[in-house]
Amino acid sequence: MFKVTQLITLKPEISVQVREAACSEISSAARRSEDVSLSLLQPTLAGVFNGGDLILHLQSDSANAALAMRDTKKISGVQSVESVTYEGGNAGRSGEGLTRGVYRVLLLSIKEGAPTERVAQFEKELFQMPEYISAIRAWQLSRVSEASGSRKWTHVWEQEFSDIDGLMGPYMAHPYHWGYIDRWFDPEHQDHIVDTHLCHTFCDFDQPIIKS
Amino acid sequence: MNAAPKIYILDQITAQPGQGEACFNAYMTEYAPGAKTRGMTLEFTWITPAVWLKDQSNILFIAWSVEGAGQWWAMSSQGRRDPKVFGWWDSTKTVVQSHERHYLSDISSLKALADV
Repeated sequence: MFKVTQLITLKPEISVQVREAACSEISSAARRSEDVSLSLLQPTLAGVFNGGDLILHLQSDSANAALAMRDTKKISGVQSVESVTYEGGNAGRSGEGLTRGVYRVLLLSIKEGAPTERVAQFEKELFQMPEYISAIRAWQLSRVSEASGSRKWTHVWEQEFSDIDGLMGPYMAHPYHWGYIDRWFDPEHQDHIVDTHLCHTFCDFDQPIIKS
Repeated sequence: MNAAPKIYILDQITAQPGQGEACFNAYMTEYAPGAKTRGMTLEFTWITPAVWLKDQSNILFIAWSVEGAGQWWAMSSQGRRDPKVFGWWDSTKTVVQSHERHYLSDISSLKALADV
């Protein structure tokens, strides 16, 4: 499964009409790719960090879907785009699949020169988060094949939560997160390998996004 | 309502040989004031061995605390966005040989910390 995720920031001064036209044009571009099997375009929710105004997410059986969205930043009203293209990596799900909830995306960039075995350990520990934090109902960790925007993104960490409280509460407050996983992101910690510039973003969804 | 369990931040610092006291003084005058403004409370400053060594390395253990995960994130997010904070460690190589950071809790707090 090929995936494209874009975090789109609109120019702050644009009118409601220009904003709606931009959304319409983005949707049209996504639909033009015949291979797209799933598409989501949703406004981000309050609390995102470098998360943009809109999340666009496409899934396709071919890599062609990425081509359709190469020019998102040229659309009138669009200020910037963080874009990643990737083949879906390891994924999991707990319990019944959600048909609606909150879809969360973390874009991160491993610092150049990080030892391969440390990156593998980071990936393993990150993927194990749902074993400790049951609020994560579906999850997928993928390596990025093509990235553009403010960083050369290396990984996408996607999750589904039943509601925003699961993300803001258990996900952030569980000691496996702040007391263990976060050391990879902490520039004062000896295990630090992730660039401190991250995109943490989330939106509502009303169809399953992550397929394990 | 019970107070959030304490979370401890432990800096384990191996000083350059003969630089233990200079290392400690630099930490307390240059690093500690900012840590306090980020909400960290100084808990203890320990040293081994219990004498300033002249040509070997002292190891310092400096522990801070915050109240619960909310304060931990507030402290951590401020620090990682300020290059003066994490850059401090690179700027003190004349007195700091190596540094390890650990995040700890009392074992009696594990249940409360996981009750999220």
